[in-house]
Formats: sequence, structure tokens, C-alpha cells
Amino acid sequence: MTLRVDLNSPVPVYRQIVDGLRILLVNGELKPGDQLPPVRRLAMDLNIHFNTVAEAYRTLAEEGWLEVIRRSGARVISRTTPSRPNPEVSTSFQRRLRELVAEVQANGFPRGRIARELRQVAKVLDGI
Amino acid sequence: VTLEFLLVLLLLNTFAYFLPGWARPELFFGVTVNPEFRRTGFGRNIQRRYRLILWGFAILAICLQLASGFAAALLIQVVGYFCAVADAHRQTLAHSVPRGMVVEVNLSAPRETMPGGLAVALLPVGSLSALALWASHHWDRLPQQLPVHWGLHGPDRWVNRTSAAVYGFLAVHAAISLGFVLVAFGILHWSRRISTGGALAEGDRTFRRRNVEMILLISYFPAVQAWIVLLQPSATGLWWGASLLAIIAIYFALLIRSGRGGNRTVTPSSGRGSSEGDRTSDAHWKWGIFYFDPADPSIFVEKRFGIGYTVNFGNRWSWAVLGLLLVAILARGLLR
Repeated sequence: MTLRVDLNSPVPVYRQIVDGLRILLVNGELKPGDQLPPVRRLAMDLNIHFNTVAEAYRTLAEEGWLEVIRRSGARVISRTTPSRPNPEVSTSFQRRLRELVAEVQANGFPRGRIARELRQVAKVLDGI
Repeated sequence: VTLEFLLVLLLLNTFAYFLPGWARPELFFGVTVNPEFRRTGFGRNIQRRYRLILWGFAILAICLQLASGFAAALLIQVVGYFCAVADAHRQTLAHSVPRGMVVEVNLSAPRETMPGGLAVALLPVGSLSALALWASHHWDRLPQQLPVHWGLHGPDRWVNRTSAAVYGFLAVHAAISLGFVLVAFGILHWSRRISTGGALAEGDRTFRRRNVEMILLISYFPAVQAWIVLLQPSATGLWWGASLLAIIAIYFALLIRSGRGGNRTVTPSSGRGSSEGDRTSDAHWKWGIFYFDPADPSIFVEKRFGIGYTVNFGNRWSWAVLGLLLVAILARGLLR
């Protein structure tokens, strides 16, 4: 169960941590009851300021994924997914997906490969 | 020129001579370079110049020892070392390459623990407490004078046997021992862990573990020294020289053998998995020796040039740890 962060990426490190952890949470690799490393420990291992990790944990706690425990890190809690998606989320998802596809296409990714990657994601979703 | 001084000088310079070869393959005098750089003409020239400066200062130190004394000569040799490294670092900067800063962390990595547990770490202090208890019941069997300072030839400053001297002596040795335990604890809990897999990462983990084990072993040194001083004072001189040499030799032999990220004979392309490197930025290293990054929460970081760990001078807690260690070491000078 690995978290990867690119310190040279234009994407803020805080956002990379939130996204990385969310993938692990959605895929079920992190389950309710699992303990995440203390803020200071994770900050040290990633070579970043501990406020960045604290901010990422807070964001995921606000989304209902984590319970932040002072001094001992964070614990994954069971989260009830809304039965109906928020219409704004749905619109934003479509827009962001198209933007992403356009961006990678503009960077030379072949259409076939993009389609393959999307099918791969769809397969994982079908599995869930 | 005394034989001892020449011996010390020879040991220091031989060690410094080989030091560039014991760094990670992608680091040369604390600068990130292509792993093959050290074998190029530029790399060899920088290394040759470093060694010339080093030996130049060694000759100067020998002359100075003739004129003034051991301390000044040793100081000039240390200054020479820093000059040689700083010069080589500055020259290498022109050949630096950008490093990838992708960091991986294994979220399920178990917590690292002290080798042998808390009992092994606190045994020296426990044994010193037992010695204090024994001394209080066998006062007459203690030596009339206690050595409180050691030079190359053994003890060179003594104090009379008084309650303050005996218990102060034991307290100072306990504090020094605890200082080493604090450093071992700090390396485990206040520095970055190794999270990748493969043989190279395993080498890094072994190196880290050896460091902690050796520092714990050194924490026994002050306790054993106190036992010998109080119970076998005649063996103090012999014990001092032999044990100091043995500990230094074992420490460096084990760490050099364990390597980190392999050593210069292992390049990242040798198919032995990936090494994470030290995961610090070149910009935060001064002369490739001093690490200063206020945003990095680590107190201890792996040395880029040299063997073992150094402190992050940008972290205020590092200064607290250094202050505690310094107080423990200097307290021996207060014994009267």
C-alpha cells in the first residue's frame, strides 16, 4: 500500500496526498479501522512540511473518510456514499474527464491508449 | 613530531582519501551527478585536487606541530579537510544534474523499534546506577583519585575522591550514555524511513539498522569506562586506547561494508531494484556537508559526504538535541 508524491510536480503536494489516499480508500485498499501514519511521521517520510500532511488529512476527514486522532495520526472510518450523486459533481466529473482526455491527447497520447486506460478503469468499476 | 600525531594524521587522511568512493553512486561531494561522473576526466580531476589539498594541509599540520603543539596542528588538519571538501563541492556543482523527486511511502510499514528493545538501550544507565549503589557501600575500595579527562596516552587530569566527584563522575557518564541512546532513537524515529523494495533498498535499510546498532554499542562505552575507572583503575590507560581504536575501527568497517544504495561498485542500472537516495535537495546542502532545510521535519538525515547521519540544522529541535549532547560531554570538565 504505497503513496507516491512527486515533489517537482506542478500539482500541489497536499492535493497529491489527498488524491493518492482517496484512490486507496475508494479501491478498498484502506479499510475502515485501518490506521494511517501520524502527521509528523508521514511528513518526515515524504520530506515535506507537516502542515501539508495535516491539511490533506483534514480534507479527507471533511469528506468523511478519516477520523483525525491527535498525536496518533488518522483512522479510516466507514463512510456512507450518497445514494444520488450531486448534479454539480456529475457535471464537474464529465467536464474534468474531457479536459483530462484533451490534455493527454494534446501531449501525444494515442487515442487507442487513452481508450484502453479508460476501459481499464471501467473494468475496475464493474468489479466493485 | 610525535609518533602518535603522525599515526592520527595518517588515519584521518587515509579515511578522508577514500571517503568520496563510499558515497552513493549518484552523489559526488554532496552534489547530484550522473553515476558515471566520478569515472570521467572531470570527476578524476576534482578528486585529485581534493586529495592534494588534503595532503598539503597534512604537511602544514606536521610543521605546525613542531612549532606549537598537537591541538593547533589537529585543528589545521580539520580546517584543511573542510577546505578540500568545499572546493571539490564547488567544482562539482557545475556538473550537477536535476534529480527526480518522486517519493514513495509504504503506509503499512511497521514501526521501527530499538534493536534488543528498551532493556538493551537502558542497560548502561542501569549498570551505572548499580555501580553508584555499590560505591556507596564500598567507599574505601574506590581509588583515591578519579580520571576526568583523557588524552592520546590515557588519563591526563584527575580529581580527588569526594562524594561530589564520584557521583558526579557516574552521573556524567550516564548522561553521555543516554545521549548516544537519544541519537539512536532519533535516527529511528526522527529521520526518513526506506520505503521501496529491492536489493538496493534492502542495503539502505541494513545501513540504517547498522548505524543504530553501532550507536547503541557506543552507548556502552562510557558505562564500561566508569566501571573500569572505579574497579580496575590500573587498567584505565590500556583500556582507553585499545577500546577507542577498536570501536572506531568496527564502526567504520561495518558501515562501509553495509554500504548505502550499494556503493560505487553498484550503479542504479545494475538491476538490483531502486534506491530512494537520500531524498533531499542539493539546494539545502552547504558544501555537501551541512544540511539546512527548515521545512523538513526530520532531525537526522543521512550524510551525503561521510558515513552515517548528520542533523538538519534548519530544524530547531536539532539544536536542542545537539545542545543536550554538548552539555553531557562538557559536564565532565566541571568535575573538580
